[in-house]
Amino acid sequence: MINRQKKISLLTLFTFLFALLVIGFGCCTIGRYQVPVRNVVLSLSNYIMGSKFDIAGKEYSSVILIRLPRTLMAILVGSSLSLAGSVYQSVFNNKLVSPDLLGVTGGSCVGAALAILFGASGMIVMMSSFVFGLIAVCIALFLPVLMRNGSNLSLVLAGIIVSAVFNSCLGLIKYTVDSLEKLEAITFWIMGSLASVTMRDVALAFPFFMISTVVLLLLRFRINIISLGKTEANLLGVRFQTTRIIVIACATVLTACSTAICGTVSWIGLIVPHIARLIVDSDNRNLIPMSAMLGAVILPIIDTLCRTLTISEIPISIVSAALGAVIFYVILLQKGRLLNDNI
Amino acid sequence: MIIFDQVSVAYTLSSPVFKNWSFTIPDNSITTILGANGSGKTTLLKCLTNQLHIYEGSITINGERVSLLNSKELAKLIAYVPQNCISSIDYRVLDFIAFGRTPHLRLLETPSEKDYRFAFDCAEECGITHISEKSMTAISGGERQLAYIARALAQETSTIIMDEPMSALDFGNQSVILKIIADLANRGKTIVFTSHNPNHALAISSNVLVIDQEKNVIWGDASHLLKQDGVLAKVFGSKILYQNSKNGGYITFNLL
Repeated sequence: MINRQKKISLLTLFTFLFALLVIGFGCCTIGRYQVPVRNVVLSLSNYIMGSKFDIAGKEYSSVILIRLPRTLMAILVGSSLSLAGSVYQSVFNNKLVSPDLLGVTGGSCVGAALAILFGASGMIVMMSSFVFGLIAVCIALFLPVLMRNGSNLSLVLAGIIVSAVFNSCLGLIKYTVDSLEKLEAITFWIMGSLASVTMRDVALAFPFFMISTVVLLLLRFRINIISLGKTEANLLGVRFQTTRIIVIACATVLTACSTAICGTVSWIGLIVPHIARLIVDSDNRNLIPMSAMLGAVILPIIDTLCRTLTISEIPISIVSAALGAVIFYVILLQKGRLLNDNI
Repeated sequence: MIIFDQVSVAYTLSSPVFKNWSFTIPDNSITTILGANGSGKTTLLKCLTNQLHIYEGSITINGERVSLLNSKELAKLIAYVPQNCISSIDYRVLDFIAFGRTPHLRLLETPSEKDYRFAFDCAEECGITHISEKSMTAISGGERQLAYIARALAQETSTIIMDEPMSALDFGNQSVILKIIADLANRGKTIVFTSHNPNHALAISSNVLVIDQEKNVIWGDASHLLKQDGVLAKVFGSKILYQNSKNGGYITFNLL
């Protein structure tokens, strides 16, 4: 009996879409400022379909101007970070890798901190963070070229070096910053938050997320081959170096974009691929879409917890790291006996 | 047909790995590469599979110069089974075998139904259909070796190159692999593999490519060449003996 590769079934896909809608709606409804479900529906209908129901301005603005963009962005960021994480883990054939392996997060933080240091805010901080994230990864990709070594190990080491340098730069910026206000701004930015996200940000970031996601989804079979290592990939007729660069570039854009918008969101990129592996196998044809789907439903929940658990908002990386670490241990409890040094 | 013409390799100028090697491996044959540790077996395979570009001279496969081929073209000419068939990712065995179809796919294509049927046939030829649903990390070393060979078959190349395919296998599994190698040659494939055991060459009456300790290379029929006085000694030292027996000869240790 020949079984073709197991595919993610239509049922799974519909379950996901349904879950996404329910969670998305839930996130727009739940909050410290109570809005009745009926008014949430009417607000959304006013916004999306242009109907003219009569809603209190405060209710409308908290649903449409605050919760909706946050939820949409959390969906985008969650799926992007998870997707980037699973891609990085496959490319480097190491399940302990997270998307900031090549220093993208360090670079993004330095970019944002520099912009804040010079008194910028909003869009400038975002741009600066995005650009510096990309610069950091470019340096990490370039260092092995000088070493005349194309192995994954040299790339990982280059990533460690770049992260270290950028983190020390970040320390220096924090140390020399001239006002406590800016120091606070930098610190909060790094801990991450979706609080200031607007619909314009969503529209601006959407193409970046979409293009990278589509490219990675299209290349998902090639990523399987890349994961076998340079020699085997080359001898199976795949241009290892070129494919690896394209894949890393797309995953990096996803991560840099996410970090630029909402600061660091730790652990999502590491944990979600592991949860996805519990549902589908390690084949990237299934793993990559499944990671993206799971990330898209998990981060909105975390973000809603961040803004509802206490009166003032909790930074997102605090909740994601705490939850992530616990979930990771639960997974290890189940799968721990399979652990070996080749993880 | 694989032709080495005056091929020399040197990692450093003072100590060449080998110099001016010339030999021809005909189509539809089995060749066992024999040589001591460090004699250049792996280097030879690396040159042949385009992983090493620092050699002089020319290597051609079916009339195509290896160094001028891109990886896709090369992957349609030769399939390669690496030495340590370890697998740290739990791909399903049949999916893994289907990876061998990659050189025949376009950039964004994934293996089709037809490719999977072909992969299953390859699994059948290697006798591993019963484990085709298992994970690559959950099967034995011998089975993994067979899965790699099946993947090489799925590449549909005329030539298959294996780097020490039996080095990690028990006696029974060695015979399984040897049988498969012989069957493949019967079906018109050209097989080149390295081995530390000259009896492998005798068992499937293949040709041998012998690298002696002076780094000279001789290609010829195993049963003739290994019988000749001094050939084995030149390769492995004096403690190795060719023993005649009723059903052909075998090679054993002479420790006395």
